[in-house]
Amino acid sequence: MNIVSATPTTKSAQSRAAGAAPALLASRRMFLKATAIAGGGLLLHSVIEPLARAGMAEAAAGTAGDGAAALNAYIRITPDGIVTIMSKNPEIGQGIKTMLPMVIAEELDVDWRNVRIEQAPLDAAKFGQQFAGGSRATPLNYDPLRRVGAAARQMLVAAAAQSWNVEPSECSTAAGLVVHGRSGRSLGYGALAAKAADMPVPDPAAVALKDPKSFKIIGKRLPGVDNPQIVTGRPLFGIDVTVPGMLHAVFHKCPVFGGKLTSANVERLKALPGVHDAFVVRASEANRSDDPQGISDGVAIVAKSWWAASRARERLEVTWDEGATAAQNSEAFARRAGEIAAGAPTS
Amino acid sequence: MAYAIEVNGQKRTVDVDGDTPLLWVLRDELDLKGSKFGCGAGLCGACTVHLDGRAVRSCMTPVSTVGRAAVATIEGMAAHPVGKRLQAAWMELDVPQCGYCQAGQIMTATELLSANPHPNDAEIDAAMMGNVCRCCTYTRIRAAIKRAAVIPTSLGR
Repeated sequence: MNIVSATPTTKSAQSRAAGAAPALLASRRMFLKATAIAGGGLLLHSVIEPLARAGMAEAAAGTAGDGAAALNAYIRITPDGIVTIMSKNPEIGQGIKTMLPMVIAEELDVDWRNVRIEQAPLDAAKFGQQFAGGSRATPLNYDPLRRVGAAARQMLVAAAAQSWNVEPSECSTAAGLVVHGRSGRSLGYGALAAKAADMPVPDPAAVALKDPKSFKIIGKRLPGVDNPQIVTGRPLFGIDVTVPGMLHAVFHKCPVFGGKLTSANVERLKALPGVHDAFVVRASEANRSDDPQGISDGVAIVAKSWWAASRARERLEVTWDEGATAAQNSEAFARRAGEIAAGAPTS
Repeated sequence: MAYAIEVNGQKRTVDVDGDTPLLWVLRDELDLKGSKFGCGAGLCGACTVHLDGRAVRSCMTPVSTVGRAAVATIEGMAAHPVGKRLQAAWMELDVPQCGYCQAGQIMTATELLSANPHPNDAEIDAAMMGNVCRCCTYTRIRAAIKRAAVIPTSLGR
């Protein structure tokens, strides 16, 4: 099984993490929880509910500086009717950044052309679990995100009904409009959003969902939302992110798992052009939880550019105490396996 | 030391060591992030740019060797008669998956289509074989190159 969360500790330098704040680790607990879900069918109320409710918790945040009204953690609508939908999971080529907002947009009942998509920051309290792995994004998110969209739609309908002094049940929606059929009146979501943000937040478990037969977005083949950035080379990936004063580092670690650094010429590296600092990292200090995937002994070289750091690494002179693991090899593993197989079974 | 190079039609001056690969000059000195670092060894093609229209691996091209050659990157392809048709075809056929290799793919395809306006499958495969794609978008890349070959220039974005 392959789990990738949008964190700096994973190998996915190419993961499209631009805009994502550092750091939620795909913890062992989260992994086990997700695994348990994948194996069973009893998750409806225990998992879907909290996810949708997490999305609703941010509701009624009011209007921002650009006049955008937040209906919940996932949905902002500006007065011009443009709907911005947060995409919660890391995009690694599986298309999830496009797909998850489609589910919300369907139930919100908007024209896809008026939807803008933003990568959500890592914030499990707002967005629930945010990871990629195991092909679980659709089964885990389909129902809750439909409810996120439907709840926001219900708030827009409530706002329009109040404006017209009619019953919400007399109103319908179509492509970003709330319509009162009997009187022929209609209001755009953009005009309603600020008022809708003040409406009571519906119980996501109780909102009405569309009949799939009426789906206009789900089931359609829509192009990846990042295609324009990709084909024109605009910044998109984790490696493309810059911040003011940013430095670049390389980390040279022991080639043997669990090995210890005995010496390194860090003082000499510090004097090289473009190098800001070079220092020894001790697993015993940096990795106190003894996480087997945690950082190992090594040397960090921090420089003005990646190239300067990489060049400095070529001048690194380092010695290791590789420890007992260095003596392990495939032949010994095979021999030991044979010994075990030939022995008596153990429970 | 200072190097004056022409990038996407503009004269730029950078102050770096001569052995600095063009890739890092583009990305870190000129803030052109479209060309990607993949292997750093000329094996994957993610860093492909043009020197005087020829596709080169910028991760293996020291800036000191660029000289007066015109450098073109993915950021300049919207103004390239062939490059913009390829970009339009890439969008039309929804080629990218993760997208990391696609700038390099388009740069190599631009060189191909500039020299050979109607390549067949074998010619496409031969030209593109140095650009690897972990998502395996090869089938659509091939289709998009063929599509770009018949898109009128005016339809390119």
